[in-house]
Amino acid sequence: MSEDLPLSPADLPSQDRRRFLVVAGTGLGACGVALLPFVSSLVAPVGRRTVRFASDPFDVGAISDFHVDEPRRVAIRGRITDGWQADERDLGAAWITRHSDGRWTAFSSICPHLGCAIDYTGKKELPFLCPCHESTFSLDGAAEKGPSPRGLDALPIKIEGERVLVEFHRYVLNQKHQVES
Amino acid sequence: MSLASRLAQAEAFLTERTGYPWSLAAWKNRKLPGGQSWGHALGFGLAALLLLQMFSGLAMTLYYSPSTANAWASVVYFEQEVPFGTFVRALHYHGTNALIIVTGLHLLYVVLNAGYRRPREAAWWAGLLLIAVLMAAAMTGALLPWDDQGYWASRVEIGIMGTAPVVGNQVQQIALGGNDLGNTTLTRYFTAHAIVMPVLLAGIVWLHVSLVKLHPAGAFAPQRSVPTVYWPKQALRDAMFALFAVAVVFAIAARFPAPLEGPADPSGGYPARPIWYFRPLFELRRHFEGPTEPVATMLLPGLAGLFLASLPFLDRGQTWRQRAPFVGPVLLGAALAIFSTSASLQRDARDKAYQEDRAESRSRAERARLAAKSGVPPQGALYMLQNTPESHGAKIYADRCVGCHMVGGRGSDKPKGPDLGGWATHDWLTGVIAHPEAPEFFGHSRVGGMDPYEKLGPTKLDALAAFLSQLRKYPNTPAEKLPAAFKSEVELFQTEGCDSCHSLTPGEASGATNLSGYGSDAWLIGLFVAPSSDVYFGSDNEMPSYKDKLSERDMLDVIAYLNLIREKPVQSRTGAIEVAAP
Repeated sequence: MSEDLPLSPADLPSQDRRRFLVVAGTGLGACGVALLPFVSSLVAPVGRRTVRFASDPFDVGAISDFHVDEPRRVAIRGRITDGWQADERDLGAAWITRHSDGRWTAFSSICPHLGCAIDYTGKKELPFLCPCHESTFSLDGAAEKGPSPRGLDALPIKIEGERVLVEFHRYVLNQKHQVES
Repeated sequence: MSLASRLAQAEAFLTERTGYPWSLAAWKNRKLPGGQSWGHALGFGLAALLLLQMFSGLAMTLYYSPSTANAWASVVYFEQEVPFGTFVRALHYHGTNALIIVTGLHLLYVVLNAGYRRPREAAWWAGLLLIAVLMAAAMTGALLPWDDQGYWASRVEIGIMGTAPVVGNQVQQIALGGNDLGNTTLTRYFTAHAIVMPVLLAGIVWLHVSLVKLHPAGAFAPQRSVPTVYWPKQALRDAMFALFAVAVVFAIAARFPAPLEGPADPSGGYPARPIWYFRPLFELRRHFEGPTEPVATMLLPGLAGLFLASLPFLDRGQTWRQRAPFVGPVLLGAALAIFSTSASLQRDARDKAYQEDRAESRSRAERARLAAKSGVPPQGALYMLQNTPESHGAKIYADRCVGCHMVGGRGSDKPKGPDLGGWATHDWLTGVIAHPEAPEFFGHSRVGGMDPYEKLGPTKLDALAAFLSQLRKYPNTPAEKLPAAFKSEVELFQTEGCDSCHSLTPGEASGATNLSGYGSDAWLIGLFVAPSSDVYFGSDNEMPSYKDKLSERDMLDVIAYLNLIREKPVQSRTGAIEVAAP
């Protein structure tokens, strides 16, 4: 080639410079657009529920299966869709207490701090304890000591005839306010 | 043609075609102004260990399947069915530990020698970046087997990600691949661990090494020995250390397989702990409650990273005294990390409840591996484990038996039948013969009429109990046909008058429970089908018949569960009423 290419856009007369910028800008923009489908694979999950299960009430037993003032851990088994897979398995567990005043409480056994399974210590003062980071909760689920930002997540519970029914929900971990996940 | 001219020809051949100046002499004669040292060999050792990780990792990807249903099973298959499978996986696991330890040593060596001084800052930063990528590789790799340890550790780590300011939620969801740990999480972690990290590691290592070679010495180069060239002294040290490091990993891997817990159970109570190299953060976090937690998990580690990155600009002194405020914190940090890791491990070692939980997890893992030998169903390893005869039996027990029978003092508040904890074992039988009317035996039951035989004395009680506890091995065998070893016990059974009510002849009703084949599957199935028959508990019996309620398969599963709790009575340490399902 006999002609030397200009060294930079600054060397071009202004009209040609404008054209160069337009072409270069369009080219880069096109590359960005072409990359979008790949970036979308990475960030698509934001706001999406890839793990889903029914929130219909689960039958967890008869009233007589629960002794007064003695929390009992019941595994909740149900249908779950995990990405591309449908399954029926244990979704989690609930600590269900039949209180002496006739109330029923159900708490998710998933610690609201970082998701470990809550234990029941049997002690009256601080009955619920998370073995991972030692968050403790009262019988009514209130957070006492430890790093948990909120109390135990209460699950809707109701009695139908002789059966106890609990709705299972999962909540975002490590937040002050309960947000369904 | 001489060797030297052949070599020169080969170098010229490659140089002309690749554009890169191939020269063996240049490689051999690379200047080392500070002389040779073992410390310099640490970097080369790291490269060798990385290569080990790549090979062992590649071997595993030939078998690994990244889905929640298949991952655990594919790892177990690799270990159990592929030749050297356990060894290769152990290499990969212990290789990671070795990488971290040698990286720590390498970093300390560079800090002590101020190897980051001008003009080597960029090499140092590339090195720090490598540490971050290494940590990410370790974290993502841990999730891949989808066992309890990886699952719960990742759960905690992802939970911590969510606490990052501003972008925490979005970062968490991108890591999770959605709203919770599941299939999409596993595939992302696999992509990161097997594709992205190796590429990043290879690239940044190449950059790091190129930059280090570009500047053979920084502005502060302690004179170790006479200035020399790479070959032969440093080359020898490099090779020997690399060989040593890899040999140590091989030796440890041959002796200690990589750990693998049972299949991840999202609803389970696994006693989660971070892997050892994250223990210092685990300990640090204990001092920060609730909303201040991100200080421990993000702010302080971030500041530490920033401090390290700034060392080239901070540490400019020439004497130890001048360097102390910058080198000191690094050494202190290393000491604290080691100390807190050790303290954390010791605390766990002393924690009885934690150790019990871990023992239970280990036995669960063993059961799962055993069951996996005959193949894992499409729903996955967790499904397999939860539907073993014992766990199915546990569910039936919880539905049908828990209302009347206690186990180990826990269970029904209106028991009608005996406590089944340790049922038909030697100790249980000693107890029931001595005091059948006791509340833990037949005290609550209408069935009665047997005198307490405590008066027999310990020797005779012991003999009778031992004898009866063996009978389950001899179903449908009359007393005369029992092994000769039992002759004296059979005689005792007769002389003390046991056989006036309890027959040892199969099928014979003589006023109380027939004890032929006591405790065997056949005896138990007969009991479930017709507990009111005269061969069992007769007309005073209150136990319902399960003939139309349970299939024979169901009954065998309950028996499997009863056998399980016979050895280990169920007693939830937390005091809650819980029938343990494996």
